[in-house]
Amino acid sequence: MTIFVHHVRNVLLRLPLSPRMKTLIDHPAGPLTIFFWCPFVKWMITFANIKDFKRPVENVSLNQQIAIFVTGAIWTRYCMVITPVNYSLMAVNATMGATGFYQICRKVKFYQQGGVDTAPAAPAPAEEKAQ
Amino acid sequence: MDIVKTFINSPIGPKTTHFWGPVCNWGIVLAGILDSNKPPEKISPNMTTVLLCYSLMFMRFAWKVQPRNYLLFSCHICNTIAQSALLMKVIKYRRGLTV
Repeated sequence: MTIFVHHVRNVLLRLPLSPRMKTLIDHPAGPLTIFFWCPFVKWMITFANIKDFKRPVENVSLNQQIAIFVTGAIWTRYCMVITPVNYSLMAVNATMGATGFYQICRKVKFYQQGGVDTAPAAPAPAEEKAQ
Repeated sequence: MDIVKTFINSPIGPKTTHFWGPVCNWGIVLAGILDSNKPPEKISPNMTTVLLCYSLMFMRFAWKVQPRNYLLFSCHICNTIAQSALLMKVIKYRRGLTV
């Protein structure tokens, strides 16, 4: 994997790019490093959670959403105290925590209205065929 | 006691963010383990896939970051295993539905 990235870097640096682009490619937190893509993946968690807003409330995992909310909240605070302050990571964690909080509220409201998590579904057709 | 004191005062010890961030991320692992006992229709395939990719990338992040964060690294190894197990459960369940 590292060798592949090395090759990509060498190919890109041979291209007739502006000095600014070349600085970006070689940057210690640039698009060829993991530090660039980590906040991007955290945004994917946020978008997956937003997509899951449409899922029925019975299927929302309270454990998972609490973990997402707590992670988002603590990482938001700590992005402000680390050196250097990382606003992009702070933003993604704040949004992730907010989506987790929304899902928790949905679930709590569902329980308060007397909702009960549904029992396991009937056996899958493959199992019925085997019998 | 010296080892404990060294750890407490280390750059990735409990006085720093490098410790408490990974501790929170263990929550995601625990949630994944607790969810493995639930019926498969309750597992979100979107979220599980994304969390799997997230853990794979953060394993590399934890290794490359300065200072190297072994706690975060171990957390994401466990999360990769947990989310893979959940994803296999969902895929098996869905294959059973379409057969």
